[in-house]
Amino acid sequence: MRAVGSVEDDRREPESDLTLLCLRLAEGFRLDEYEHPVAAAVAVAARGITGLGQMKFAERFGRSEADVDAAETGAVAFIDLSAEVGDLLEASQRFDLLQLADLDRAFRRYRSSRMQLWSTGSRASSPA
Amino acid sequence: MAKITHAEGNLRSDDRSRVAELMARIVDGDDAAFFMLVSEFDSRVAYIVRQFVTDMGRRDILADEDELSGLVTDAWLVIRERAGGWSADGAMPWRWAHLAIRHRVSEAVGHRTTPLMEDDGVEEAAWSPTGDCEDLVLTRLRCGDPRLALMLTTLKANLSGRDYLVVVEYLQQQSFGDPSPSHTVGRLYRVKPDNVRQIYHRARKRMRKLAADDPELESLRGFWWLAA
Repeated sequence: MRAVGSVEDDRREPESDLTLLCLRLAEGFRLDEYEHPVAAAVAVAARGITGLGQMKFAERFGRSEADVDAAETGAVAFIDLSAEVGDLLEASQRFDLLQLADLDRAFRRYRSSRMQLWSTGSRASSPA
Repeated sequence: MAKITHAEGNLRSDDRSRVAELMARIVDGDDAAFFMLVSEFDSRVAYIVRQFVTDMGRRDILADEDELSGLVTDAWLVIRERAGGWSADGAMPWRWAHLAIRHRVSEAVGHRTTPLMEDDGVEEAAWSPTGDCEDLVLTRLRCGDPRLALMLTTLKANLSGRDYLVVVEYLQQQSFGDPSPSHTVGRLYRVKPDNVRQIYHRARKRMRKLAADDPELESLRGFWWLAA
């Protein structure tokens, strides 16, 4: 039991929400032109929770290192991320998966509207 | 838990080697190590940011969880950007980069302002870009969807004036097909897009909990806005 007024320090860090950090990382990945920036940030965050390097992480979840790397470099869509990624984030209780999914949707909508604009522009400027 | 009274006041001997290991991995391009660093040492950076905000005379921000969280995230990103120049023999990264962090906080926080009063009846008009947000809500209510009416009434009762307007505007922008409602709403209300998203999602989370706990809000349980 701790005495009233004691200054014992149990050294536990407060558990901060990491969603915002994940969102910022995703925005950076988008500028780097990753195909699936939010999925990449989520995959990186999931491995970050475990504290493992890519190889150990792949071993632990029965994946190839190439698969882990593909997810972290944005080659895998949010919806196609392996189950352990979502499970790790959810279990940590430090990420709002709904918010991340919404950003993914927003980025995809933005991307498709840009592509639509681009293709309309190309048609308009191409010779008849 | 004892309050941490100094950013490095409860530094453990093994902290330094852990920080050095994670910083080295960040420099090698391992962003997962960045998440580890933040998870383990977030309170140190949060302490420094709170100090800067206080020094800048913006104690009002200390009470704004979303704004403060955004500043702490900015500070971590400063550390990540500069990781390559950090030396394990010197001060801890957040001490080493404190001038750059201070600069980033100062850019975000700006000049000292008088905090807005939440319930003085003036704030909503001041925050509203056109002053007609309330009318738009009422128009929607007149459409006769009782669940939407209940949701908006509950939202209004449970959010600050600003947050309510941010959420309603976000919903409207989304329904107009705005591909980036957080940026649009952020510009209108002078809130960072990240904070707009936080406000929006916290409001949704809160409404979901209210709908689950309160029998009077039972009809909202299957409502589209609260569905995952």
